[in-house]
Amino acid sequence: MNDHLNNEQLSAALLAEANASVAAHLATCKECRRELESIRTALAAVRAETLALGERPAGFWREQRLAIAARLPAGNELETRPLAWAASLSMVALVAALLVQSVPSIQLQVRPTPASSGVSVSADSDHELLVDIARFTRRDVPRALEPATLIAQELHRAAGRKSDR
Amino acid sequence: METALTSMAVAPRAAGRTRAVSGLRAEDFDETVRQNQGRIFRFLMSLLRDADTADTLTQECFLRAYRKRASFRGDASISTWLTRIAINLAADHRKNRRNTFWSRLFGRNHAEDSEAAVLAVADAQPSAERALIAGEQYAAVRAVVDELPPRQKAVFLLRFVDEMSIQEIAQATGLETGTVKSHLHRALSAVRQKASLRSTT
Repeated sequence: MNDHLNNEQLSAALLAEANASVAAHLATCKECRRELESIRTALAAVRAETLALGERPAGFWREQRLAIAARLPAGNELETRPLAWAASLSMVALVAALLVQSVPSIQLQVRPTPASSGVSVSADSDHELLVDIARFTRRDVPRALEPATLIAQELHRAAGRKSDR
Repeated sequence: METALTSMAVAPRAAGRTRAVSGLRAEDFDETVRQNQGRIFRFLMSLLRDADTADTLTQECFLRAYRKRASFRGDASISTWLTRIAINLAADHRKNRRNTFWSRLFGRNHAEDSEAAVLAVADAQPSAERALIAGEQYAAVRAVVDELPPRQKAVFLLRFVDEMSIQEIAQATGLETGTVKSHLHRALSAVRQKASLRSTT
């Protein structure tokens, strides 16, 4: 038989995916069988070599397990989750505390206008409070950090003056 | 010797491929390491050709598995899941080869490893001629395999060294089964064309 198996067909045979015609050809063609056997032998050599490369004494595996154990986190997941929750709750509490501190200072700025009186005072003060909150949220710097910002700006200006000289 | 890791040991499971389970429990971790460390190390060794790196990445593989054990759903076997982690680590390692110079300078000579392996293969053969041919074939095929693109190389090694099924390789690499087959066909074609193989029969 002159038409021997091509690469694709030989690969299919190696991957045990050969169809009936490839199988029939292999049954009759000694050359293709030899070719297939040659590749199989080479692949077996690679496998044997790779397995040999991975061989290590028992002590190596023991040391590897020890190294892994040494690097394992001290606590398991069940122990670390409450810690994560505690950290999250602390953050929420901190934010809440900052807000509580900020709200009275906003309220202190609400001054009843001369025209406002009675029920309308409450409505106006609500409106002013909302406006103040809007201003507060639009601030570049939180109120608590304003002094620090002013100091930083002053230092920056001073540095600029020095460099101008 | 009892260690923090071994003290977590529970009833041993069947050897070989670890069965698929839903979730990897911390108390099973020691057994998982024992059953898979040799296979993961060997795979990384064959992929990277560096014993020290393979050792480091094997450890990293199990540490990552431990950290992410909650995400293991049991869709694939644990060994396949670990292989996937190992492949990702090897890919990361390839991307960051800043230590190549130092590993070449101080690391073990790859040629020595390969030579020792060929001798080990040769020792197992009854005939000197067969051993010689096996050694030649190994060298020829290995040279071709080392030049394969990384993903193709990983697929080739998983198939012909780890003897994984196409489906398992697809799960380990995240590729479609058709893509895995395509990689294998191309790799085999390269091996056949570039390595001048001689029949031992």
